[in-house]
Amino acid sequence: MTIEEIYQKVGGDYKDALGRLMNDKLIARFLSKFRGSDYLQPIQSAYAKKDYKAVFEAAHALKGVAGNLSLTSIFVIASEITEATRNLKEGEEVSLEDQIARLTEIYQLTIVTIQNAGL
Amino acid sequence: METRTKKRILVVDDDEINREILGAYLEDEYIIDYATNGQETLDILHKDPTRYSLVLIDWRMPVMDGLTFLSIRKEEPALRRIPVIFLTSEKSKEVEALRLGAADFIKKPYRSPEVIQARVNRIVELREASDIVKQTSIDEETGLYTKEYFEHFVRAINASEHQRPYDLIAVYIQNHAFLQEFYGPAFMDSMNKMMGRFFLEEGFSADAPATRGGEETFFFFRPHNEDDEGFCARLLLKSHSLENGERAYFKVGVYPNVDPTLAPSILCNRAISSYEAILKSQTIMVGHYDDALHEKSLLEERLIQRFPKAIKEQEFQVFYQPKYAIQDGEPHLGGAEALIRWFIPGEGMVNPGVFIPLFEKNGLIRDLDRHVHRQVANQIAKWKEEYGIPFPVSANLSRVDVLDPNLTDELFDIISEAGIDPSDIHLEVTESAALDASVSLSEIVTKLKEKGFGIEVDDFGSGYSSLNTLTEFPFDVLKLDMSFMRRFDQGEKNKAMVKWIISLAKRFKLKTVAEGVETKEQYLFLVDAGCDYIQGWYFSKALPANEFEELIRKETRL
Repeated sequence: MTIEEIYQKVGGDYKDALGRLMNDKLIARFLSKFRGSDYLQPIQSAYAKKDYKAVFEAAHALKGVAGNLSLTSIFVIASEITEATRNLKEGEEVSLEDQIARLTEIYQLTIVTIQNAGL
Repeated sequence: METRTKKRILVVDDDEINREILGAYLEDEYIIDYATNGQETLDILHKDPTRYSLVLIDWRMPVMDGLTFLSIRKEEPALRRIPVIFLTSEKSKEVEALRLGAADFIKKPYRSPEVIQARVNRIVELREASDIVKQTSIDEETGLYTKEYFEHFVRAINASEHQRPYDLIAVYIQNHAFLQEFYGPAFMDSMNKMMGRFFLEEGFSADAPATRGGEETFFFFRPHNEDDEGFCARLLLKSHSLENGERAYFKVGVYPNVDPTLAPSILCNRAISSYEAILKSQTIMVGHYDDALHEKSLLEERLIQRFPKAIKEQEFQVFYQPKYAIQDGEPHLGGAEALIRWFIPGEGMVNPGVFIPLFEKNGLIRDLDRHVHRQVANQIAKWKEEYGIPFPVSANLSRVDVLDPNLTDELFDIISEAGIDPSDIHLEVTESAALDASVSLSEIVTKLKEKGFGIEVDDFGSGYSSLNTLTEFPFDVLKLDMSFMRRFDQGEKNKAMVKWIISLAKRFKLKTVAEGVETKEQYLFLVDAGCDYIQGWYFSKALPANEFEELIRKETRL
């Protein structure tokens, strides 16, 4: 599987990634690193504890990395979560079930795809 | 042999991928070290603040975030010397970071390696340059860049490869002097802050630098934008927030699509000339740099460039405007006023009405005046020896001279070298210089008087005259502005005014000189009014030294 095919499969923007990361070798290096770290779990566990500040922090971190790797689908959902949890008042709650379900699905697909590509 | 060592950069982000992407961009040119939060960064920098040429730091990080780091750095001079580029996806944090002293910011996700490399290189180069000028980058009062830093940015933007068109905007506060005088420093402080906020809202950043260029002028170098009207409207709106309901009156000069090959100072001059062209208008607030101004600027820039050569090659000549004494019998030569003339070989005479105001504006007039004073002093020495001339020659002092603390000493050196007495030379000071700087002027005039120089008030009665001028400063001679003679035929009130000023001067024991006398009728009137001296075409125009010498010869034969 080529790098371009990985991006197609996981809803990423390959051209954008190439513009930012210069070549496939470098993209592969960073995708591999992405696979090796867990950005999803901190969001899920913070949400389970209704610690929205921590949800924001964790989603913001994922948004930053996904943006830089041009993993557009992940970037979009992570942005939805940061916007939903930004400036929440003390005690205020918000439902993120839908976003987190979608995020989990695409995130796992991405990790598996990277893995299957041998990275 | 010394080899060029790579400079070292510290990249700070809690996310490994984000850190290493930057590392990949920069590792060819720099040695990259990493840290994961603000506290770690402080620890590393404290060990050796001179080790790093730049810090790139993220906003959100555990332990200590990037903004907290910036606010701590701001208080530590050793750390302030290291420029910081702020990394963020949050637009609202960009401005905050700049306020806290970040030199620039980079948006996340990163745009492209080239953009980031170019910005990093630019800031590193700027740091080296600013190390030399030893200036912090931000002006405390306004939150804008210092003038030096602003010029570095303008230069860097103009030199960058991805050239977008830029405009240079000059904002001039027309009633600055009044506001300062009337409301004092606290008000001016709040106005400067207001201007700083205004430029921030207009997009002030490393890519659109702004600065306070002088007491009353601000400069803003922004990507080309047609919306000058909107800019002015927002500026006016902003100024409504000033205390006391007071308003600042603005003139805005726009030099659109600047020529990037020109030096920042020339760009600024062009923006200034754009608002100067509309200063007198009651209704127009914004002036644009157009063809007419362009021609004028080209001429001015050429004159400024030529100046050092012109001094060296004696292109400046002193002419002598004879003054005639008219109260004791036959009119006879009673003095002269030294006037500067500039002849460029092959081109002819440059209009003094063009180059004198120009040199007054940029300070070259100081050098020119001193050059004239030296020539005049030497000429007087020669005439004194040959003819024993019994009258003084007067020379102009510009307002820049008047503010120069070394003036008295330098003038005294000049006359000592020439071997003449201070009383052989009179110095002409305009009333407007008196109004601009009344305190120091009275000091300077007193000092010059103590040294023995004669002092004349020039252009009395033009513009704003103040009778205080007559009582506050120890003058010897009062020179009536030539506008009185120009208006001679326009009614009795004008003549009554001349008579009154002359009689008032007599009461203060001042000699009077009328300028611009051209007709017999004017001459007879002035004799009758008791005026001591006249100068103007009726007797003679200004003459080169050798022709004036003829007059002296005739005079001394009598």
